[in-house]
Amino acid sequence: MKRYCIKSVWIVVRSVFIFLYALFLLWLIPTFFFNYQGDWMKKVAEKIPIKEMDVNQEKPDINQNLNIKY
Amino acid sequence: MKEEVPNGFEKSLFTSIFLTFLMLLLLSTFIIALNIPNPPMLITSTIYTLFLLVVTFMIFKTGKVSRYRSLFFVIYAMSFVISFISHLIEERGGMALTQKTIEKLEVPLCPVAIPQLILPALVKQTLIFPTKLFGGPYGGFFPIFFMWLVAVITLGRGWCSWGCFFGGLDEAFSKVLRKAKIPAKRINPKWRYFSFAVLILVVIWSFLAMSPVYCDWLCPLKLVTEYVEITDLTTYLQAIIFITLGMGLLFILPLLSKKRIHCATFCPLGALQSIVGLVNPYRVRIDKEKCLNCKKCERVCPVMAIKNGKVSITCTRCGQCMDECPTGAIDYCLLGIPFSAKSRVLSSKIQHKILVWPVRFFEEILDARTLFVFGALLFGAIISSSFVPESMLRIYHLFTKGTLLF
Repeated sequence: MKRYCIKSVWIVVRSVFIFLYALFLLWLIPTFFFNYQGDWMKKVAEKIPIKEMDVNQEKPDINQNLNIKY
Repeated sequence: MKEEVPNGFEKSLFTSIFLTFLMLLLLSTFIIALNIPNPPMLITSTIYTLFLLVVTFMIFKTGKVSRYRSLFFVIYAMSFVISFISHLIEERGGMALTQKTIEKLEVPLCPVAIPQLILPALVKQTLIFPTKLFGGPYGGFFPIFFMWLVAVITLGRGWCSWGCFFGGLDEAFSKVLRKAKIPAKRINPKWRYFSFAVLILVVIWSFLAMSPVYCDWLCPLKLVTEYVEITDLTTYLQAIIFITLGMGLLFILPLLSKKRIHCATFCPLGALQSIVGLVNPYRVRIDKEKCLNCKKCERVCPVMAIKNGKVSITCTRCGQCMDECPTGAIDYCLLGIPFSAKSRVLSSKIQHKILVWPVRFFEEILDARTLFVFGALLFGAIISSSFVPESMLRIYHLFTKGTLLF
């Protein structure tokens, strides 16, 4: 009897966890793609300190050379 | 004709219809409703939705995951390539990436590039890929990065068989021949760890160079996407490398070995997914009590993830082993729940006839297999909701107007 009760409780706990996880995914996937590039993403991204690649980093500054010359 | 043997994973007709209907509700919102303003796309998106519903129903009703997933995944990858290359030709006139596009930070971010971006982003707060943080042709860095995070939570390494834009290419070639020219026993499964070596190399090298070295030097997928314009000896060497790797890893070796060689042995994103995907609660397990030790799963696994009755972390959850297992000993499981606990406990305990039907229904719905497969299919379906209907339209254009371009 005790064993059966423990097993039943375990099944209920497991089912609740699985059900919540399933609901989370069912919410997450459509919501994410429905609001793809939405305001929420920009707000979160603003808090992440990262800057874009500087593609001209290694190139000489032409204007500076011109300034020296003239 | 080979007779179909039921593997015990078939869902009841009611559950299969219920899941298909749930998929219809979600897909009609994302695929059909979004294309209402564009009548030709509305037609192709409706056809694609119907195809996805058939795939959903068949997966659950027959219990054969990989067969129908594979069909979806190959169409998914082929459509992506058709759509992506056509866009490149329309916008730039070709697949070559010019210096101007790089300087304008308009290179679409590929998810495979993500592993090499993480360390420079964490340490030097710099994105080492020539794309905008937001905006540009495919949304920029953050949308792709967040999509990858959702993929990690939803699929884990299952990304490689359900969500990757390119995985369907070597999968398609691995299915062409009936019998492998290079037998499975001749391929050492330890090759699967080579992708981890590539990952480590790429992470360190890109951090030291502060540039996306995998994209520059190694990526075989440039064969089907974009590559830096060949202007000097360096870009010429890079072209030779990506053409050789692309032909070998994506087409020739998968064709001869019937294995997904690129995904299994080379892709650094695949290796990263194996590690970060451990946060995902789904696993593939083998029931020791049911296992006959016939090694069929080892032979058919397209990524060589099974050895001596154990499933490694490189498993892409494609379901091939489950489809082939003669005793149904392999199945999706949830972390922390032993295989024995997922057997039909409730159905066997509750004998009351009135309770049997609803209990069975909920048991089937809350099964790890149902949850993973449904979530993975939904993820793949929504990602592909734009490019598959579009490429169908392009193919129609090809037949009617002689060009894939709009």
